[in-house]
Amino acid sequence: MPLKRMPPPSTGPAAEELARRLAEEWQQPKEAGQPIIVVRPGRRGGGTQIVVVWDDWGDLPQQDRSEIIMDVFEQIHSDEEILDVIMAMGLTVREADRMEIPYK
Amino acid sequence: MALRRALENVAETVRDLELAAEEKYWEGLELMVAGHPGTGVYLMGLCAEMWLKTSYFHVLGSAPADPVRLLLSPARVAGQRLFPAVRHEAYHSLRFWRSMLLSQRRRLGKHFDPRLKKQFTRHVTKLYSIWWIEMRYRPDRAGIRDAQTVYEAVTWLRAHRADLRR
Repeated sequence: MPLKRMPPPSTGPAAEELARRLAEEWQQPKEAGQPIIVVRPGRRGGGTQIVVVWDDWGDLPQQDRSEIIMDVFEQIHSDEEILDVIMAMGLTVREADRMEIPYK
Repeated sequence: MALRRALENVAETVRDLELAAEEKYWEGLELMVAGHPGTGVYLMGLCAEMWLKTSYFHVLGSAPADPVRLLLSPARVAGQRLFPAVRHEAYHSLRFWRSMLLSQRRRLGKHFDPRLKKQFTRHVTKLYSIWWIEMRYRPDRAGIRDAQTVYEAVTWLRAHRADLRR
């Protein structure tokens, strides 16, 4: 039987494709559709929070989604903006609605 | 429901880490006193990691209920910019979290009192020279002197955790 070595989710082809599409959206936002990127200042003047609402996250674990968001964010933002981020969260629409995250 | 499943179903929060650190501090101390320095050192090192992480998260404005797993990748990327040579060791490195805490406090104008900073750096440097997460896969080799050093350093972190996050 052939031996297949699968890459970890956050570095595999699926993750790379998600990262590519997310970077595209960040740089040239569409009028509608997904992913929906929400960047908001933190509470009490704290660090920036990033929420990406996207059904294409599928079953990807929360931490892997967070890693992808930051990998993309790092490519297109300044050092000061990067250092200010405290949280990166990827959610499907259903998850965002359940958590009552404002994104619409 | 089995314990693992029950725990995995709920993401650990900043507050959970603080509670876990407090519990493990006392368990580590009991093990040291009972003549098990190796396991005591391991648990106490985990406490140091958790107090450093939670201090860092607090300084950047996280809330007690924030899930820790969503706070890690921003720290990784910030660390790559600030200290490319300091590895985060799967987010367990005491050196990484020490550097992050000092650097972000400086950036945000939340400067440490110089005496506090000196003591903080000295204690965490000593801890880093003894503890790292992978030691759990090694037979216990920590001696009484290691346990004493770790106990003193972690007790200092515990006593000053409010100062670290202010």
